[in-house]
Amino acid sequence: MDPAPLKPPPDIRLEQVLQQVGDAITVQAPDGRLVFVNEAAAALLGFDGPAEVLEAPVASVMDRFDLLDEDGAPLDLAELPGRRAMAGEAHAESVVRFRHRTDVIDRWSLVRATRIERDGALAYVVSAFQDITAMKQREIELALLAQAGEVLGRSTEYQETLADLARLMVPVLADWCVVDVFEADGLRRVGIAHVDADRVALAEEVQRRYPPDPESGATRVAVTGEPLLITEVSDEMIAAGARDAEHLRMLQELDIRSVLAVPLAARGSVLGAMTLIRSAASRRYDEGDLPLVTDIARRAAIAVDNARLLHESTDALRMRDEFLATASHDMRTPLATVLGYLQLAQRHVAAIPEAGRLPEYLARAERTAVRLARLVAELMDVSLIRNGQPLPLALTEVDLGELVRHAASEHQLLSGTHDITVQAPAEPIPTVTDESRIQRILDNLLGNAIKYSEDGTRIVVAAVVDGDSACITVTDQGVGIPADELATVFERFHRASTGRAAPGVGLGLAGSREVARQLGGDVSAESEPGIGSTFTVRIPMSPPPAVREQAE
Amino acid sequence: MSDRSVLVVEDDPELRTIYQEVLSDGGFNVMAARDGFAALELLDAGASPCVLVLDLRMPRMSGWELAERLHADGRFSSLPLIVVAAYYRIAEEAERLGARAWLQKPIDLGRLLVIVEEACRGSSSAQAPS
Repeated sequence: MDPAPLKPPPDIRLEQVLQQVGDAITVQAPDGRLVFVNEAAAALLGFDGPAEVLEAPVASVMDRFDLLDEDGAPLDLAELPGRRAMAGEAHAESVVRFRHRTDVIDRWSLVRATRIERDGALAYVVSAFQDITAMKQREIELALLAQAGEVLGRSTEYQETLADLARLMVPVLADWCVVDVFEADGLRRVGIAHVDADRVALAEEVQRRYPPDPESGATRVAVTGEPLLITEVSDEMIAAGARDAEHLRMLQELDIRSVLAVPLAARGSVLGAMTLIRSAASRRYDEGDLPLVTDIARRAAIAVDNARLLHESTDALRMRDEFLATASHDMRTPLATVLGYLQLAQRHVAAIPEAGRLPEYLARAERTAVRLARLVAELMDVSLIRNGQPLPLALTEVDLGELVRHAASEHQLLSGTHDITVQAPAEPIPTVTDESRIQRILDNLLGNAIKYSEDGTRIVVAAVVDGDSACITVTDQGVGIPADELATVFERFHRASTGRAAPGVGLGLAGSREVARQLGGDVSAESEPGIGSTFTVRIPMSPPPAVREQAE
Repeated sequence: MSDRSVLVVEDDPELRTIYQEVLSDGGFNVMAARDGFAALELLDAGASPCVLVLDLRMPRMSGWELAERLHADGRFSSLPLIVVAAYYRIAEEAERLGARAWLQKPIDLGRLLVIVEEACRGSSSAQAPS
C-alpha cells in the first residue's frame, strides 16, 4: 500500500514558526523519508539548509555522524526515537550523542519522537531535538572534577596520585597525558597514560632515548608557569622537533595532533606541568578547554604541595624525636660522672670532722644533678607521648607513702620558700608501678604548686589508699584555676591565664596525665580561685593486665 | 674464684674510676675492662669475679654481645650480670639478657654497692667452693 502523500500544512505561518524554533524538528513519512526539516535540524545534521537535507538520499543523511548513546557506546539506527515511533511506539524519547566524523565534536540531543496516525495508519513521525550539549559537558566536567578530587585525596604519595590523575584524564580529556614534577634532580615524569597501552611503552622509549630539551613544551610550561596550547600540531612542527630519522618515525607513530600543557602551580610556585595530547582522530584542543584543565591542574598542584608539606613535617618530627632520644642518651653518661663524683665526695667528706658546710653543699649539688637527670629522662618520655607511643615501663613494688615523703623532703630542700607538709599513713602503701614515672609526675605537680603559689604558703602532699588504688594529692594555696579553664588544663597546648601549663621541656600536666594513664591510673584537678588547687594522682596498687603487658 | 672480686665493664674512663673507687671502698677487689672484648680477655686469662657490672653500648664488643658469649660459654654462663647503662629500654634489655639487676645511668652509688653485695653473696653461696 502506498503511503498517503504528504500535503504541506495549509497554514504557511505555522511552517515559518517551525523553521524558526531553536530546537531541531524533523517530520518523516512512513517510509522514513524526511518530508520536513527546520533550519536547526539542517544545522544539526551538518547541512547548509533544509532544502539540501530533503534532496539528499535517505541513506546518506546520517553519514556525517557516528551515533552514540548517552554514555558514548555506538547506537544502532533502529534505536533512534524516530525509528522506534515508526515501529509503533506512540512517544519515544532518548538522549543521542552525535559525533561529527571529521572534526570529532560531540553534540548531545534529547530526542523526542511522536507517532502521528491518520485513520489508524501511520501518517508521520515528528521528531524534536533539544540540544543539551552544554549541560552534558558541564555534567562530564563536574564528574571529572569529582573523580579528580577523589584521586588527589587518595594518597599522600604524590607520585602515585599524579600517575592516577594521568590515567583519569584519558580518554575523557586526552588520548594521552603525561605529568612532570620538579624533584631534586630536575623535572621528572611521574605519570603517563595513553588510551592505547602499547603507546605508553613507545612514549617512554622516546622519553628515554630523546630526553626533552629545556625548550620542549612541558619543560617550558613548568619553567614559565604559562599554559601552552597548540590546537593543530603540523607535520612540519613534528619534523622540526625530531632529532634524527628514528626520532621522527617514533614521533609520527605517537600521532600527536593537538597539545594542551598547563602548569601545576601552588602557593606561588610552579611544581611541574600536566600535558594533554590528542591524536588525529580526536577533537582538537581550543581555548574553551583551558578553564577545566587549569582547574584540575591547580587541584593536583595543591595535592602535591600538601603531600610534600606533610612529608617535610613528618621528617622534621622524626628528626626532632631522634635528636631527643640521642640527646637524652648522650647526656646521661656525663651526668652519671658528675653525680658519681658528688657521691664519692660526700662519702669522703663524711670522714672529715671539720668539713663545715661542705656536706650540705655537696648534698644540694647532688639533688640538683638528680633532678637534671630526671628532666633528661623525661625528654624521651615527652617525645614518645607526643607521638602517641607506649612508654617502656619498669614495674617494681614501691611504697607510695615513702615515695611521697621522699619527694616532699626533696622539694622542701630545693625550695625553702614554701611549707611542704606530708600526710601519709605510717604503714606502707605497697604499689606495683613504675617508680621513676610516679616520681616525675609528683615532681611536675610539686613544681607547679611551688611556682603558682605565694612564698610562705603551705603545700600539702598526701597519700591514701582508696579501694584498689593509691591516691596522691598535691594541694596548694595558690591563685587557683578558673572553673572554665579547669577542663582544658590537661590539654597539650593549653596555656591557662595562670600560666599553669606553660610549655617547657618537661611532661607538663598533659604529659603527667598521659603517663598516669599508661600506668592504669589518672591525674585530675579541682580548684577554687583564690583558695587553691588540688591535683590528684590515682594509681592502681596492682597494675592491670595491659600495663603488665606494656612492661614486658 | 675470689669471693669479693667484681669485674666492671664500662667504656667511659671516668665512670670506670668512680665504680672502681666506690666498690674498692666497699671492700671489693675490682677489675675493670673498657669493653666486652677486654672483659673476655680478662676472663679467658683466668679472672673469676663473683659478679659482672656491665654497660651496654661500648665500642669493639657491646654488653649485649659479651652477655651472649658468656651465656654460650659453660665456664661463665652462671656468672651474675648487673646491667648499668644509659639505654632507654634498659628494663627490657636487662630481662632479655637474664641480668640479676639493672641500674639506669645516672646511678646511685650506694644502690650499686648494695646490689653488687647481694649478687656476690648469692653467687658465692650458690657455687660449691672450688
